[in-house]
Amino acid sequence: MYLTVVSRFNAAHTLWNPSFTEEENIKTFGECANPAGHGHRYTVEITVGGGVTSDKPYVVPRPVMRKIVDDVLSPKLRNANLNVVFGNGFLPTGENVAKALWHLLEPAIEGHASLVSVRIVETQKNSFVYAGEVGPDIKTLPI
Amino acid sequence: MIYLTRKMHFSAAHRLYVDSLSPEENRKIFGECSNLHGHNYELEVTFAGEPDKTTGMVIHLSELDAIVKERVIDQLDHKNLDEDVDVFKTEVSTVEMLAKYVWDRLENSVPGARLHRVRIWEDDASFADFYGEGR
Repeated sequence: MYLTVVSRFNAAHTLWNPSFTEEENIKTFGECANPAGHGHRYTVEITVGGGVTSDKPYVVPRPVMRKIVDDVLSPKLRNANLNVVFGNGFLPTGENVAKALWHLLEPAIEGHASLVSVRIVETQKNSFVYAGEVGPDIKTLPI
Repeated sequence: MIYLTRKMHFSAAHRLYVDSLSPEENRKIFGECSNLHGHNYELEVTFAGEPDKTTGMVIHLSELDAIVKERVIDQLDHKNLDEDVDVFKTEVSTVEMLAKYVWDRLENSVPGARLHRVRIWEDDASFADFYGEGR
């Protein structure tokens, strides 16, 4: 059984690799390379898995899962600049944000359930799933 | 193999409450969900199968709708889950247990297609997925 909770937040970022020339950055990242930054309303879907029985009729009680997710994500992501909150040198692509959030969430969820995947929906056209380095069967990913 | 998903809705009341626990313990586990409240649930059922050679379909959607309506929607829509649905007189009506209930009602219900996933959205911020593990 899998439970997914959804969080949404507004954040700014710019895609700019300082080891590239300005020309290379614009060629690689296009309009996302605007040095002044731009923003998205991100959706984050966090999926945990575990057994469910009559005696334990939930993967994690919903209020508990909501608190874990809010406690981890809110300080990092609420109206944040993603180039700053994840430290210098972090390139805040959807892929890298998904991985970074996985690594923040995994220790907080440990002991409650297994973290299965983190999905970032950046725009209506872009979404990214990170399911750890091995990952479950693609057919059972919540996408 | 094609995976076909159909979306349907039902509205129902419930509360999350274990009778053998005290009201304080229930509130600690389930928070405000331990009070009677309701949801507009969204149900997504996914069936896997090969398209029929003459119709090009895994299953005709109107046939699928009729099956899901009779077996699931009519049982749950505008009901108090904990009082009107037999299984939830003894089980807690979490979204996870609801997904298991729907699985058990729909497994082997569609000729020529295999139930792959039941997804139930309780609201726009959470959903459960069940793939029939252990069934």
